[in-house]
Amino acid sequence: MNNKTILLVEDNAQDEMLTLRALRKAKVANQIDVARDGQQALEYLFKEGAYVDRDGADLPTMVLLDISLPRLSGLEVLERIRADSRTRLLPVVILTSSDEERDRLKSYEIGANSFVQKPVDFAEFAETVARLGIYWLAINEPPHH
Amino acid sequence: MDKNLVLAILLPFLALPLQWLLWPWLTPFVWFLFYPTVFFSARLGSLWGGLISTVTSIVMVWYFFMPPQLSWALDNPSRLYSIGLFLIMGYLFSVTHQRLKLAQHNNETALEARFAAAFEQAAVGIAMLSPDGHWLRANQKLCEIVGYSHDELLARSFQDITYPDDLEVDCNYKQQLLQGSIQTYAIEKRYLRKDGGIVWANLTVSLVRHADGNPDYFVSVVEDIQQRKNTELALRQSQADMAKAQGIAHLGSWNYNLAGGWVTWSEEALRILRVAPGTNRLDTEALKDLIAPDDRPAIKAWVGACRDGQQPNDLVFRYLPPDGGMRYLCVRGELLGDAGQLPASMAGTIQDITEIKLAERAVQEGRLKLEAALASMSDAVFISDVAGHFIHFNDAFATFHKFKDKQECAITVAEYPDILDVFMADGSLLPINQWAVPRALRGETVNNVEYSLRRKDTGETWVGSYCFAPIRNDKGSIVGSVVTARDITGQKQTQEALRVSQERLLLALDASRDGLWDWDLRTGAVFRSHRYYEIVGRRREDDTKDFDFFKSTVHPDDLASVLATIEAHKQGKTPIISFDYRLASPADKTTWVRVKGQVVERDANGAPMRIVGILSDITEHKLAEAQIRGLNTDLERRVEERTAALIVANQELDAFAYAVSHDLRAPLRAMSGFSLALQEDYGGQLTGEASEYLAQINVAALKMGDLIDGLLVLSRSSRGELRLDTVDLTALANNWVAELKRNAPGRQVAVYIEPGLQTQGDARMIEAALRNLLDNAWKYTQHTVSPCIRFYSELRDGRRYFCVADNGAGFDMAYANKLFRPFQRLHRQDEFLGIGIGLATVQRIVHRHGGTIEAQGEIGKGAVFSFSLGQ
Repeated sequence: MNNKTILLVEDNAQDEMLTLRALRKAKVANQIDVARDGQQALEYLFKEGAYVDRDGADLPTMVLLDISLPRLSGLEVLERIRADSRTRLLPVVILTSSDEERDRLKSYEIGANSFVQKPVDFAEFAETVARLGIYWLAINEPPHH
Repeated sequence: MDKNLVLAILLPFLALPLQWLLWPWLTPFVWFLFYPTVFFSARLGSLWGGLISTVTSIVMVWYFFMPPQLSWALDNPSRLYSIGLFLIMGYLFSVTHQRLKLAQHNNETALEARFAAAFEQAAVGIAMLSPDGHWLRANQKLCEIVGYSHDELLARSFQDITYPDDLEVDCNYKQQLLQGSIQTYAIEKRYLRKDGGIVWANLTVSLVRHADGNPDYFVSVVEDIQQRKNTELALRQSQADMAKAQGIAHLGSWNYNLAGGWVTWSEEALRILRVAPGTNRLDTEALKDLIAPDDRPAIKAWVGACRDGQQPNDLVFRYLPPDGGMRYLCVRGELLGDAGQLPASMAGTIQDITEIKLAERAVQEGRLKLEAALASMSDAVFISDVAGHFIHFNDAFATFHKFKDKQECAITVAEYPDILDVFMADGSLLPINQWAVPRALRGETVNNVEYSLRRKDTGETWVGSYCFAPIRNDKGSIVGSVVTARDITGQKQTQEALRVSQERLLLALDASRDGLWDWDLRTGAVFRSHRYYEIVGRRREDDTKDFDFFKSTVHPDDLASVLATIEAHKQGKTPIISFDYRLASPADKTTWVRVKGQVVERDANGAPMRIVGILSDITEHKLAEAQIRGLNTDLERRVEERTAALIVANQELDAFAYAVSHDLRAPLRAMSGFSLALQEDYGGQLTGEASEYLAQINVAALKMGDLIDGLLVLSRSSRGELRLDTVDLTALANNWVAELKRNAPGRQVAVYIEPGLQTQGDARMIEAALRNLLDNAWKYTQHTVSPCIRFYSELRDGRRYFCVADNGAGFDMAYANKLFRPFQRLHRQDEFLGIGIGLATVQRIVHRHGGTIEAQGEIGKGAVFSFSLGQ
């Protein structure tokens, strides 16, 4: 479990801190890489730009993806992930403040594995993140490349 | 001198050279040729001829043949003896022939005398004529016949007294006699008498020839047959008269020779029998085949009756002429001869009555045809005699007069006033003398006069169209009447309906101020109503009643399209004609008219024959239309502008709500998160009220989150598309109440939900509204002792209302108007938590469905929220 990496794509530093704290609290010990906008997330995944010499396994075990991101939005990032054969099957969880119906529909349409709303109530938020981590890292069997 | 004598004398001179030539073979018979010579000389020349020939012969023989020849010397005295013998024999020949001739002459003289007597006293005329036709002799009788004396007659030739027409025949025959091709001939000829009269004679002629065969004379026997001729002529005249009479009467006569078994027919009879003239004797066997086999027994019986002396009736039988066909003949006859005598013949007449028979049959057939024709007619036909008694009437007569059948009908016109009333068209009662039959009997001929009739017994009324006329005999006097009548009640009703319909149409047309036109394409003629001229602004007098007039009323700019439209309709490409055009009116005024029409008749090939339609003045209509079009355009433009503005506003609102849902939450989450993190990580170091303050930060953050959520829901309820689903309200309510109970397991609430509630609308919105109402009911009954929530429907003013009722806190109706405004609350937070946005959302949703919502409440008693969802 320890060799699995999680990519968190989040532009809001406060949300990032809270998410990381919640994961830590939930005893998720995996390496968590953070990308702060869509562009960065894609460069990370495809080892481009600043991430050409990225260490570690080729792809993260899962991606936690915010929707409202500077430059490329989370949904655009998801589309690019699904369009590329290398990342086509990568588990992506949309993690967003929005509870807009259209965001949820669109996410599933373009291939999100889960859609999770970040609640305002931090206790609730922490529990949600903890459950996500456990599900995707421990329970779910990812497709083999 | 008699030439016989000369010949007799010359004969020795002929014999001499002959014997001289033959002498070498005749030697020594010196008399060889001279005996015959003398014999024939005696026969020719009698005594003297014979004697001279004898002497001449002796001299010649003595000198030329007695040796020595060519001298008178005699070699032997015995020669004298032979000379003497020849002389005696010559004498004997001569005497004998002399005697023979005398005897013959005497004989002839006696014969001649007897002949002359007979000749003169004969009862017939006898004459001798020279070959050239001159009379040589004629007897007394002949002289009497032709009326000339003997001498006068001999002075003429037969040609002189022969009737010119008969001369050629007579001469021809005589010529043939002369040529020897006939021996005799007999003709009947006419002689011209001295007194100028003509006498018929039977002439028999033969030719007498000389012994040498040359014609000598004609012997003519002339028999006076004038009397016979007269009789014959009279008979022929009488027969001709008879034949003519028979011909005129077409009546032939016949005579049946009972013994001979043949029948003699008159000329007319033969014509009737159609056998060749001259075949005037037909035996009974031959006749039998010409009689129709069916009639043969009747003929036989009839002839038998005649023969027995009865006088049978005329017999008509069918006769099959040899040249084909069939004739009807009528015979009558009787036995000839006195009583007691054995009758020799029957005689009678025969007549061809085929034409009469055929005429009779034609009359019979005509009668049957008339009966059949009358029976087949749907019009009542009745024929009366001069007394008004119906001789003929058909079944339709009974139907027309409402009788059950023909037997029931009254059969004289006089009976009818008891049965019927007859009225004129204006309703006045007609006396019987004005009815059809009496009028016809007075000589009136009328076609199609209408009478109304009413049965006196049933009161049934109907209208009849009558034609009637008198029947006249060949002298012109009236002998009856013929009347036909047709029940035109239905026709009248149809006509009346048509008239009303036409009147209605005309009234409607007048009311609509439309003009009418009717174009006959076969003749090119166009009818136009007076209103038409008013519309086109032309005078009726200027109408040429054709299509050109129409063209002259069309504005030149519109003419081409108008003609094309009409042509397309005529070809069947459009179901009706309907087009607008401008009138060719003065420039300062534009009149718009509309034509509507349709082909109403087409011929067998589908070519149009008649088009009918209307013309309307639509100028005002056009102006109004233009105005409306302008207004519409303006309205559309304004709607577009507003819509565009709304779309922009909506988009902005959308973007705003989206931003709110994303961006306003993150700081709240940070506030909540970090205050909790602080409490968790450093809680032990906090003193006093610090922990309480941190908790309040969290509470505020959460409250702010609820407000944002409420605003988003409210915003969404008025945005987005409204879908139309079938919504199961009962199921929605049950599910949500179950959820509420799960979240508050401690509460005991009585819930009643009416089963089977359904409606049409946007499922997600209706669910949100229903949840809000149930949430409220649930919330405001939390302090009630026996809480009860009901969801049901009711019908008010024809609309279905869905009601959520509770027995909770209720509200003061004075503030009811504030209930549905956003962020307006009727309770304090310490009484019931809330943000005051739920009912505003419910109202928005109900209004978007075209429905209404209302609230009834009383403090401490509860509240009822009733909503409808449009239709």
